[in-house]
Amino acid sequence: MIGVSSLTRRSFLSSAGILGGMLATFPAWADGSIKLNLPGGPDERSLATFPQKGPMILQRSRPPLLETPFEVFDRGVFTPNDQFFARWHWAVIPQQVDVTTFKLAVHGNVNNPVSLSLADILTMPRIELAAVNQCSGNSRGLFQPRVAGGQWEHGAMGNARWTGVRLRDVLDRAGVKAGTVAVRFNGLDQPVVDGAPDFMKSLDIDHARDGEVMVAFAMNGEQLPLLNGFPLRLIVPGWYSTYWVKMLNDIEVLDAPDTNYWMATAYRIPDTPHANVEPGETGFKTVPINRMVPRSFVTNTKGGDTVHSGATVPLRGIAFGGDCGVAQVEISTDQGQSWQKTSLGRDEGKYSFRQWSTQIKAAQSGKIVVQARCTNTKGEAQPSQPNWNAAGFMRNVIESVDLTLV
Amino acid sequence: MSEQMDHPLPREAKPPSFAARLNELAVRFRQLLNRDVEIATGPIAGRTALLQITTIPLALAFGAAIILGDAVWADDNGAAALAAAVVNSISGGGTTLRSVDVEFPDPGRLFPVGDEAEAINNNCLACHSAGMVLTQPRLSRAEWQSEVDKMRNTYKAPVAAPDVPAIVDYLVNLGDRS
Repeated sequence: MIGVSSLTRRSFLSSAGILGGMLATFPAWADGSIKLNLPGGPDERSLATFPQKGPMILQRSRPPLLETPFEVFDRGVFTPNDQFFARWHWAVIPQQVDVTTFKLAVHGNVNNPVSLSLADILTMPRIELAAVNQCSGNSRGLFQPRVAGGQWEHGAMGNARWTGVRLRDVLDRAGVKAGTVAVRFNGLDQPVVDGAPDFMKSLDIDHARDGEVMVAFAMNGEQLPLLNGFPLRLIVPGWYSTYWVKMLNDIEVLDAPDTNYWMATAYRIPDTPHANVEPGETGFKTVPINRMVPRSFVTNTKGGDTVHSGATVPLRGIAFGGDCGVAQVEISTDQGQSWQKTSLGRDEGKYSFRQWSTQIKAAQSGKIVVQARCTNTKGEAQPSQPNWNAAGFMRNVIESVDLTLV
Repeated sequence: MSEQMDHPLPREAKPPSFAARLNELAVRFRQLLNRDVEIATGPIAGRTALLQITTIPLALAFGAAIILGDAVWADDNGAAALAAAVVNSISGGGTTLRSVDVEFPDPGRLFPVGDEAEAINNNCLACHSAGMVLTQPRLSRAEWQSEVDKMRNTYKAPVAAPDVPAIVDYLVNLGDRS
């Protein structure tokens, strides 16, 4: 299981004191440390507490990159707001938001530019849906060869019940004009340095108007934590988190394709199956990252546990289909030669995590490698070979955990 | 805040409002009253400690300024600032949204250790803390060079050209250091 060390802040500080001139390697507010299972390391991370957040794996403090401790995913399909991962691109993030003055502007290729208050938005018709929010680079730390970027294990994802208004209805308040091709989203965060590209993302107009893309003001029945985008966040069900713009305060309707850096240069994937290329390969076409792909995880062990030979071992976990529902989750203990079905838990909607459970009979000796494989409702199954690309995007290989028999 | 003071931002991207400044000073003053200043609990290293020590009389002076200046400020900006600090909310359709006012923790650590870290500590901490860099896998010189180039050319990091080789050297040798 996860090796949360007993190192508390105070005991660390006293040991640092004994070592004398050693530089501070953990910030003063870290609450201990944790080891991630990354090939070749570095694998140690601090646990940290940020405002409105419980213990999180600290990948970077400024701008914050906070990973959900994996054991949280075993507690249910909804990730608690205070342990939902956070990822920010730029360090200028407002730490105060006044709900009485906040405005969401809708402008560009529209008949009637509007500036909506939160009071305006709370009077509009509402929708609610459960959806997985996953970073494009979730599990990047497991890529081999390793790649530069945030070295996440599997915790740059979460599932919440989102409440808000249809983006389509928000756009209709301004009246989208003919000739519109895309809609661009911007939040209150800003680069530290002048001239650096402000973080903005866009969706094709038809996607933006599909009735599911949402401007959310609540997450699991509560207002969003500031680090998850308070007061408004774009929800793009089935698509990677990069599109789920936080602290959304500006919507620009475009009559030409978006050429901004975050669409035209960053967050692009090879236009190949599984976004897969050979290390060092060049010359392939790229497209903006888009829909998610199926994944599944064993959650009641992270591997390394011992079980008694011959015992019946309960296994459970979570899965998601990507941009559609989970059709089935299967388990293999023979390197994928045979697969057994698991029981699926309650269906919270096609974009949600879904729990699965089963049990296996432990062999007589040695090791068991447990693999979980999700097949989504479009018939797409997780691959047995890992993908690779230089950005570390879209990992969805079948994951394994080892159990040792005693 | 001490590390940020150590590495001033190239510009105030969003100058703190009067209310924010006042609030920050009030927080410092409260910390002092509660004997909860950073020096009592934080890890101390070299010039960081020096800054933390100098923070105390500074904060005391600011605190005194708040009290002495209160009568003057209350007539104009001060009243608005204090009013803005009051928690407020918006309700509709059975949902209530409340204003949020938080303070992110001090980003903490510098790049270790010694003279070879000087260039990276002087140039890189304005935009991001050290943590993600220190947890990168072993990357080649070409990969680190391209990361530093991206920071300078695309993200407009004001890194002086003469400092680039020392920064890349430091990054290439990260694995040996840890």
